[in-house]
Amino acid sequence: MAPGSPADEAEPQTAPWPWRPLAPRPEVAPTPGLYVHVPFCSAICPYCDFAVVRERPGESERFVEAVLAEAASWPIAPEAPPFDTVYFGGGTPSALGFEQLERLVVGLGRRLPIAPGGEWSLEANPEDVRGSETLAAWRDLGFAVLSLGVQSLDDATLRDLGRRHDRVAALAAARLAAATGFDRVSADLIYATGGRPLDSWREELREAAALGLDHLSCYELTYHRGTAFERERRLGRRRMLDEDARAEWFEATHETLASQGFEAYEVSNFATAPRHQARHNSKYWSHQPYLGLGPSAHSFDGAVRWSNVRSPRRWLERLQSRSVTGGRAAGGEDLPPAVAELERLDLEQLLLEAVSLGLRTRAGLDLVSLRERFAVDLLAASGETVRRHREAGLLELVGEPGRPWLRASLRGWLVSESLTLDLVP
Amino acid sequence: MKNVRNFCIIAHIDHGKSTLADRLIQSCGAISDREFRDQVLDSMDIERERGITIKSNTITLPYTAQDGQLYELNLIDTPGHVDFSHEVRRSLMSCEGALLLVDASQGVEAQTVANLYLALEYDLELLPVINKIDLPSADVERAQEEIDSDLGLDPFEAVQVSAKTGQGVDQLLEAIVHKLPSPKGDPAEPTQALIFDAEYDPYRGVIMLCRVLNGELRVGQNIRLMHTERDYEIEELGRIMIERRPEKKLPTGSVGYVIAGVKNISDINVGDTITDQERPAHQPIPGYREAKPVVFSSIYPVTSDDYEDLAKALDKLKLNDAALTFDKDSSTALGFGFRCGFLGLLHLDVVQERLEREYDLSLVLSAPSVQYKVKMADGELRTIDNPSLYPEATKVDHVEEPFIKASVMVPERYLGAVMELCMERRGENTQFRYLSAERVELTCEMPLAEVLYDFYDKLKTVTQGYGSFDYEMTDYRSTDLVKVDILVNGDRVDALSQLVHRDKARPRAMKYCERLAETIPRQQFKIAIQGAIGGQIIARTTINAFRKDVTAKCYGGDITRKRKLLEKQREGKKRMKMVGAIEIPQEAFVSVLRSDK
Ligand SMILES: Nc1nc2c(ncn2[C@@H]2O[C@H](COP(=O)(O)OP(=O)(O)O)[C@@H](O)[C@H]2O)c(=O)[nH]1
Ligand code: SF4
Repeated sequence: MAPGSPADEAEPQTAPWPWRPLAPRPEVAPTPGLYVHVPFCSAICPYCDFAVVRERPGESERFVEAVLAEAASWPIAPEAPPFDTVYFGGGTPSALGFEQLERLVVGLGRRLPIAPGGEWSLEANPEDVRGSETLAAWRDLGFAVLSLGVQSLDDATLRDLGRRHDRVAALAAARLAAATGFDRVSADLIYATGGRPLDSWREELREAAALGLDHLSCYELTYHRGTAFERERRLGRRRMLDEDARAEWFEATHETLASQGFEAYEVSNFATAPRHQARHNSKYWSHQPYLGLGPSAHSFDGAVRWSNVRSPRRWLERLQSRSVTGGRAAGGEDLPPAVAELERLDLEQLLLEAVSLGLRTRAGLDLVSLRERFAVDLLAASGETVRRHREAGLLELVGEPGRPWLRASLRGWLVSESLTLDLVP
Repeated sequence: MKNVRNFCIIAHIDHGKSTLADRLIQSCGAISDREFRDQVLDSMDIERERGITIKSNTITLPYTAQDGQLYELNLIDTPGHVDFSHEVRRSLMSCEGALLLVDASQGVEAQTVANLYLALEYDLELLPVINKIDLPSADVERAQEEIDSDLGLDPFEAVQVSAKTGQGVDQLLEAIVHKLPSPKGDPAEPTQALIFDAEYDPYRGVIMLCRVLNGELRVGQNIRLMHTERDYEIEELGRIMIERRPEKKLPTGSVGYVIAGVKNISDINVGDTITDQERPAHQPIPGYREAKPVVFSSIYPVTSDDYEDLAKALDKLKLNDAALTFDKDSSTALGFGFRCGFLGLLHLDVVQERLEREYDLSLVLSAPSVQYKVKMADGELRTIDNPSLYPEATKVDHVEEPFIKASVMVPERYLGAVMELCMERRGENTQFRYLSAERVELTCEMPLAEVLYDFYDKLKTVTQGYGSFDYEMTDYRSTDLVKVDILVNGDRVDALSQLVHRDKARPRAMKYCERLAETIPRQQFKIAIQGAIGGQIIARTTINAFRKDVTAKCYGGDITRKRKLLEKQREGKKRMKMVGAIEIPQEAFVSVLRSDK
């Protein structure tokens, strides 16, 4: 900690903006999450479309102070419930030095109401795991959850993805982390990158499942606009798997992990037990509020969504300039300095989101709570659609009598976007 | 009469017909520049943008020539598109001469030639005019050569002008006076006036544009329309000089308007002859053809909310378009719409375009059909133009379809290609005769239905635009007609059913199936698309189910991007029509149906 540093003394700015973020709303579970986007990476992976930069000397210190200043600038209503999850994502949060992490942890705790039992998560890249001491230090700082950016256990794939670690480093980091005493250790994996047989991916999944981890996130490689991969694809130098193949890889992923005791609780997320489901990320899918700090971070208060300036350096400038306002919302009101866009959602938009996000989860849609929030009875309104998709094995009706839930089957998951549009036309 | 000149301008699109007309109007001092801008420029956008003139903008210009005499120049506007040859003919019948306009930078082009043939049929005196001589790329010599070789006209007669700068326009006016003949006709004969155009005025009712051939028209005269056999009294008549200028009478040879208490444009027929009730002419002016719809298609609004608007728009169009007919129609796939009748395909096109452009509607049109005579097994005779009304095949004794006598005028070098096209279209009795050393007129008898399917496009392609096409309905002949249905996962898409000759059924059905397979997006299940005659499947394609649309992650809570994507897709979905459980985008209908014309 660096007592007396400028951000500590900074008066919380009196904000001119008219809404009161994170005020409790009866219609959503009032337990907000806090996200901090750490934008630094040692190199930029060719498929990545996050807001990331390679760090320039001294930049991470300034970043930490700016995050704290941003946190202090939010006028949190006194009656607002405390944050009960805090997630450091990126970028590469593990690239921050221990002191910087500590300053963030302590500083955020001072500026924002964070519940004592709140769950803190840290994303880390295998190459930053220098030994069991690093891991223990993170744990002792208060991070109960570690999410490792393993991406692959196959050296050729890791090279293709432009990662800075190899299979050996990934295995070592995972094994050590599993033995460090975190509440939960997770690993991210990327599949359908092309150039390898499906069986070798199945084998890799079985290997990952045997590492003693509690949680896995498996993402299909996405070709985002503006990335090197997408450019290569357009130029014909890289081939994206076709739709049928991607569906096959998706199904293989789910089948293999299910056989290894990992339950899919979301389209891309698997846990060995319900308590190991990611609490913070689940908020995104269940329409709970969250506040995002740092460049490109997104926030949601139950009805309003806003997002920060995407470029890390511009975000930093905005906060350092201490200007009182940033961009302008669609309604014309001034926005806080870090905020680039703000959108107030109407019920129809919220419903579309709720259905689309809910269908991504194994639990599915709680039809009773949907009815209470939006005054729509999906079974009545889209009864014929539901019947048709149930017959086709895409949707399942579960739950107890009087408390029905509608969820997508595995095959339904594959086409959950069109299911969403069928359900809320 | 000696000082009257009735003429039109014929030209290839873009060669400057409208500009030259405007310039002539200005040079005759009919109006000031500002009025000119406000009033003269074509009122209808479509005409400008498509380069075709749909309604005539006829005008009388007083011109004092160098000989000191006052002339009355009647510029009769002709629809500039060869597909409208039917209407072009009526305009040409009102003229004694025509300016044949050639762009000095482009030379003689296909349409110039096609129009020339028509003008020659009516014995018009032709005055070649070379336009755009102000352009740096103007090549007057080449244009002269082509006027000689391609049009067979004297190149040294050609007046050189720039419609843009006004250069040469004075000489042109003199040439019009001296080279074009004055009208013939006998003032002592019983009245004979040709209605060559008509438009609807909300205050005055129908305004008829006429050319008086014999006798005269007077205010208060009791007139008779010879073909429709209706009687009226002339309330007002006069010349059109930007505005209507009332007169007491229209003498032999003159051109003007007549208002006679006609309420609806459908009460009269353009091409009809006006005569005097007390002293009627022995015969109407020849060449009359009743404007009877021969092509039928159902028009549906893309969104059913627009149905009322479509109904209103059709009512309005009808005020000015006698030939258009419509009745309520409905389709399971496309909802409520109208079964409309048209003079031909271009008429259909124009109506569709006006509905879309002027009334801001988006529409789907079913495949155009002709009118069939269906003799039932029980002896009953039915007239059917709508596939959905076609009876079960077992109950039909036999069917007759309308035949036309088609006439194509082309330079000789395209003769072979045109003959081949006509054969392919079930043409019979093909004959040809030489109009000159290079020009050939080919005639053949063929089913009208064959003209409805991309015949114009094909003809244009095989003749590189040099073919002019015209036809007249002749008779009904026995045909082997079948109804082809399109099934999507077993459900019939009624809007895609069509009546076709048995020989054409399979290829037509296959084309529909393929088009649909291209435009219906993959859905959650496999879709079979079939073409069928009754229970017999004659064509099929399939669309495989799509497998995956879910995105890998919603990282860091960026839900907005995903929602916006869904919102966009949802918008697209709203424009889909359900057939059974299959969503068919409007584009699929459009792409299938548009490809027909
Ligand atoms: N330079 C030049 N341009 C002309 C002349 N006459 C017409 N144009 C242009 O040629 C184009 C077509 O003219 P327009 O009168 O609309 O042709 P239309 O399709 O035959 O009615 C327009 O852009 C006119 O401005 C001319 O004498 N000289
Ligand atoms: S390490 Fe992660 S955040 Fe950084 S560039 Fe690679 S994929 Fe993007």
